[in-house]
Amino acid sequence: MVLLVTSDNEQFTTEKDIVERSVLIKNMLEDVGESDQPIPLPNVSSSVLKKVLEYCEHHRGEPLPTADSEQSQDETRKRTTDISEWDQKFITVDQEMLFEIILAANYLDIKSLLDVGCKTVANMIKGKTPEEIRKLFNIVNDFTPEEEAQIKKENEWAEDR
Amino acid sequence: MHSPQESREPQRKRVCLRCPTSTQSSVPQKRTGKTGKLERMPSLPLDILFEIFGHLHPLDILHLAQSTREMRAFLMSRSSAFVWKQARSNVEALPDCPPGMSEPQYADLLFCPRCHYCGASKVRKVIWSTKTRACPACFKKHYVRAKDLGDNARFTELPQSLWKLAQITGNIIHCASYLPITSRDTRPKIISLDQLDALANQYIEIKDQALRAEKWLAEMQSDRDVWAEVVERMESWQGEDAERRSERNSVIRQRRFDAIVHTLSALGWKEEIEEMDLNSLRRHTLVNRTEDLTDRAWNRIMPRLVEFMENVRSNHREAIRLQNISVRRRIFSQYIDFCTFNYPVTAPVSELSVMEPFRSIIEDTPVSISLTMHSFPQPHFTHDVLQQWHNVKKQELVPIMKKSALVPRDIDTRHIDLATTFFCCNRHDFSEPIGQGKILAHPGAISRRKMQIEDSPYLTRLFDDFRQEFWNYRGDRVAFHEPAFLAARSILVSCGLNPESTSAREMDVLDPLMECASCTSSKDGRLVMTWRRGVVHAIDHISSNMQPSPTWVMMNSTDPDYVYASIRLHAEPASFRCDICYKSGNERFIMEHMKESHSFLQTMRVHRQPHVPVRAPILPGGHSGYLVCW
Repeated sequence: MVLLVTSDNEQFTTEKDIVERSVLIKNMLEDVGESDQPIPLPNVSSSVLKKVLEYCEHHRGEPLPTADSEQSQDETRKRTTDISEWDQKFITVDQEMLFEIILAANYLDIKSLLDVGCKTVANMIKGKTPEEIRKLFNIVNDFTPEEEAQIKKENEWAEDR
Repeated sequence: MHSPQESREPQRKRVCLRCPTSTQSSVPQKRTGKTGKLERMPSLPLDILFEIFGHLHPLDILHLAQSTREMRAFLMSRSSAFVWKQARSNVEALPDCPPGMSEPQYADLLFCPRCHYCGASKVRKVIWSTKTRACPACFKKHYVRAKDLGDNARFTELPQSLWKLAQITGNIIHCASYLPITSRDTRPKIISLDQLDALANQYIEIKDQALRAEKWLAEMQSDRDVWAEVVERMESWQGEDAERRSERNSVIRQRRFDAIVHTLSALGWKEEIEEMDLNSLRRHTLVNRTEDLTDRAWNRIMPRLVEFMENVRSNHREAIRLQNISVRRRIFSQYIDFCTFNYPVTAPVSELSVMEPFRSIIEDTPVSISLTMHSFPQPHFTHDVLQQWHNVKKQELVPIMKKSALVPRDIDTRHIDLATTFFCCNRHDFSEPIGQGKILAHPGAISRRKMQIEDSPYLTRLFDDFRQEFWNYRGDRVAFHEPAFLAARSILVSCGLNPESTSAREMDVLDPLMECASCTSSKDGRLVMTWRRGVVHAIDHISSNMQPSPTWVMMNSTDPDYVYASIRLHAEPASFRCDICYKSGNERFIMEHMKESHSFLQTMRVHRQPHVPVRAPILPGGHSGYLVCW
């Protein structure tokens, strides 16, 4: 069993094969060896860690992505934004939690969870017009109408203009 | 992704796009009072942003670059080229960015369906030769057929090789259709005026330096050849991509359809699915989509699809019910034929079928019960119904009569029986006078209009089932026959009878022989006819060049010709009329005529018509001795 301590000082005891989906924790455990020492996770709050552990528990036993497999995926690319049904349900959370999960997955180095989070965000952006994207990001249009008309035509690199 | 060692560092730098060191200093203003679903996204670390961008399509990146100054500055920088490349790699088999184009330009040309001249949307095709998209109107302004370029003085002096450089290559069929093309001009040479203009400007500057001009032309030609390969490559990719997408979409559509059929069957709609036209389900907006069916999606669409299936079920049941009713209506027709076989009164079967108890027997008897002619009441009951119908319709004739200025306003049903009352049917021969007894049974008053859709689907189906409408449905079939009214009136006066009170029945009993004194001649003899024929004859007078109002003489029984004419008229009543061309004659003649002239063997319809007039021989000492039948 592994003891994790969150940024808000909450302790989580979990099984090693669950928590080892995090490459960060896996490496820590390898570095430290058998120990009762709690592992501090100062960048992860208890509510987020609870979600992360739920994800890890569901996917326990699945093969972890290796560096080779990641590379081959990158080479053959054509990455899809398909998300399995369970993952979709899992990631249906509010914006705050979504980004916290993404940040936690990135910090804890859980590639598959980071992928789910990023795909979810990408899916929300996909097919949106610039105005819809502004609404999504909650920012006002800072282009003048003339500029807006111009940028649709201008697609050179900024350095070439 | 960072290595674990790096990740152990205390706090990751989060703000990148919006940090003070980023390329743009201005931070976009927030919309007030609203929350964006991805409001926090721009403040994510760059590596995570790249991870997200990596899942996007180039058009999404283009739209992101058009969303804010900050995002634009970031994405339109050469250092962000990898973001575009990464997005591009998400598109299957997409060739690399061609030389001379930036990644954003390439993405814009490939995926942004706007006219590059006027900004119009939905311009699907790319003119790769000129790296543009053009709507039909702009295409006409900026492109021209080579053969039409001869009119332009600026270009006629340029060498043909320059024209060729500005000629668009590749698949031009789609854009060639924007230009007027003659039938012989199946593969026109189309020139970009903008390109030719630019080339002309450069050429004019150097044309006096022969060597330089030649070298320049060679370079231009070489560039054009290189680009022609790009054009070919891109068009080929686009064709393959369209095919791939189409195949992929049809596979997904089929998969979705199968999944929906399977799920609906499991929900208890199997029977309906087996019997329904599956194309109607396939075409349903919730089914005909290129998205796989997930549990979540199914839960969202299920209520509407269940509602659709409930409609299918009720439509199916209704179709069976209507089919059954059609069959029962045929049985009812046979029953009415049987009832009226030896009964003088008849009524349209369509109208009878909606009268009780016939309607409820036909429409309300459960589908499981088969009807026969015995399911309907005894004939004597139906005879009463026929008589009732007849009385009701007789009353309907009164307002029809009142439409005529010749008829007094205070008439009632008694006037319908007068010898002066005739109607006409505008469906057949409008001039033919029809007595009240016959007008209620006249086929023209109930014949079904072709391809007619009534306000109520029930009536449309009813009329189609019986191939007949209700009697004088819409009120446009039957009208009062004013010429017949006037003709009968003069005949009655000639007979010394009161037209206001003498009924048709009384006239038929009296059966006076009328001589048309206007048509009697010393050469042809006397023209004698029954009173009903006299009405027709008088109308003929009006429609022909004969004297408009014939003079009638009632033949006296003491007249030496009376017996002869009477025997002749009543002995040969079998005058028949062709229903197609209205030719008349005896039965045999009409049968032959219909067979030869109208090829009717099975559906001969002949009408017995009022006795034709006869020519009575002139008395000895008189003139002709011939009898002439019309």
